[in-house]
Formats: sequence, structure tokens, C-alpha cells
Amino acid sequence: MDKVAFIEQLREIVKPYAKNQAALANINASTDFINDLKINSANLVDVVLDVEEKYDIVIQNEEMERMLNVQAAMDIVEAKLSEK
Amino acid sequence: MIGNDIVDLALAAQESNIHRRGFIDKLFLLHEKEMIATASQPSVMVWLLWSCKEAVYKIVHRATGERKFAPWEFACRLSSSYDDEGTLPREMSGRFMVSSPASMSGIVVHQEQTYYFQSRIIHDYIHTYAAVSPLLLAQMRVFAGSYAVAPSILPSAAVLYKDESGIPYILDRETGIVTPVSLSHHGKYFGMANMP
Repeated sequence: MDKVAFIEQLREIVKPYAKNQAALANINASTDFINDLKINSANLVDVVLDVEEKYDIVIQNEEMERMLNVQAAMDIVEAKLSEK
Repeated sequence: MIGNDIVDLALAAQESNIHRRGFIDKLFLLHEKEMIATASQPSVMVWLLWSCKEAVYKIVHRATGERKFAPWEFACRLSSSYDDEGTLPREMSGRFMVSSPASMSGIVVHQEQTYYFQSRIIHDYIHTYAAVSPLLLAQMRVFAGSYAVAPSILPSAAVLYKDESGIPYILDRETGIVTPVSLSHHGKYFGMANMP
């Protein structure tokens, strides 16, 4: 998967939930959803659901529990897409 | 160890669509989903249970330093009645109103460890605080209220700081004593719990 393209897609997904616009503008692989983007923890589930819908995948509990940053999201989506 | 969590119900209603497909399923266990489905105000039950999980997550995170988004690992049970007539917030044109504060208590089980919590629904917010024992829960110093007054609730000699894992403490500049504190902020409201 093209990393730059994925981060761009993820930026669009997290946009409605991100409270730190500067961090959103500078989003990169190491960006943390809660610590950097200041996403409310209750909205993390929306990020997970939006990612599921966007890539037509099902994210399991064991994967969701580590989906706290851009890199983890990318790893999970990449693994799921390669299983298809 | 201690933890607390506050939910501004009006903001929660704006920020989250609890009716979207998958939302409830990913956050709650079967018995919790039944509690939500049978509550007279399902949305209030959602945020009550969520605040319990969050308050206990903060205890676990403080103890382990491990960050995880695993709400299904926290199983909530209410021991006191939630749906007592007259104490429930009513949704009125988007605002939650409560005639008198509603109080709930119960337990959260996480990895075979039981934690005890106390929740209060006051006006349009829910505040939950939790501890590893009922005794500790009873001893905790707890504050919940408007975020605007948050800076004035600490004694003047006290300084808040966070360690490298982001875990907060209060330092008393006069005595040099450091005590653990749990902080929570959501919308208009602020919650705090610390040891006496």
C-alpha cells in the first residue's frame, strides 16, 4: 500500500474527530490519535468503524486494542487487505 | 490506585452517534448491551457505563503504563438501582435535565481484579470515580464541576505535573509531598480525584 496515499486517506477519516488542527496538518506515521490529534477516546471507535467501512474490512478486538496511532492503523489495514 | 472520568452529556451527544452500526457492539459486553437496551434513557446508560470503563482504565494505565483501546476488557455491573423514578435525566430539546442528582455504585472487573466505582449524574454531566477497594473509594477526595473553576480548586502551594507516561501527580511545594491525582475534562466539565 502507498504510505503517503494511506496517510492522506486516514487524515480525511480522523478530521471530524481531531481537536488539534496543527497535528492534523502534520499527520505522519508516528502521529498518536489521542496524544497528538487529541481525539476523544470515545471517538476512537468511530475511527475504527470508519476505517472498516472505507477499506471494507472487519477489525478484530485484538487489533483494535493497539490501533492508537497512524502506523498501527496502517499495519492493521495492510494485513487485512493482504488476506483478501 | 484511583481514577475518575467525566462526561458532558450534551457534548457527548454531539460528538458521538451511539446509534451508528457497530458503535455499541465494539464498546460494550453482552450484559452491558442488555442494560443499555432496557434503560429508560439508553444514551445516559451508554455514557454511564463508558465513564466506568474509562475511570478504571485510568487506574490500570497508572499501574501498568500500558496503553490499550480494549473497552471489552472492563466488565461493569451496577449494584444500586439506576432507574429510580424521578432521578433520571430527561432529554429536553437536546439538553439533559435532572431534578435531583442520581447516584450509582457498582464494580468493574478487569483481568480478574475487581474495582469499585461511584457515579453521579448531576444536571447534564456524569462523574465516575473508582478505586481498588471500597475503603479507598470512601477515602478519596473528589471534585466535579465547571471547567471554569478548575484552576481554583487546588491549594495555592500545589502544582500539577505529569510524568513521562503522562500520568498526573500533585506536588505540594511546601512539604515536597507528591500524591497521585486523576484528572478528567470533557466539554464544560472537569473532574478530579486524589488521595486525602
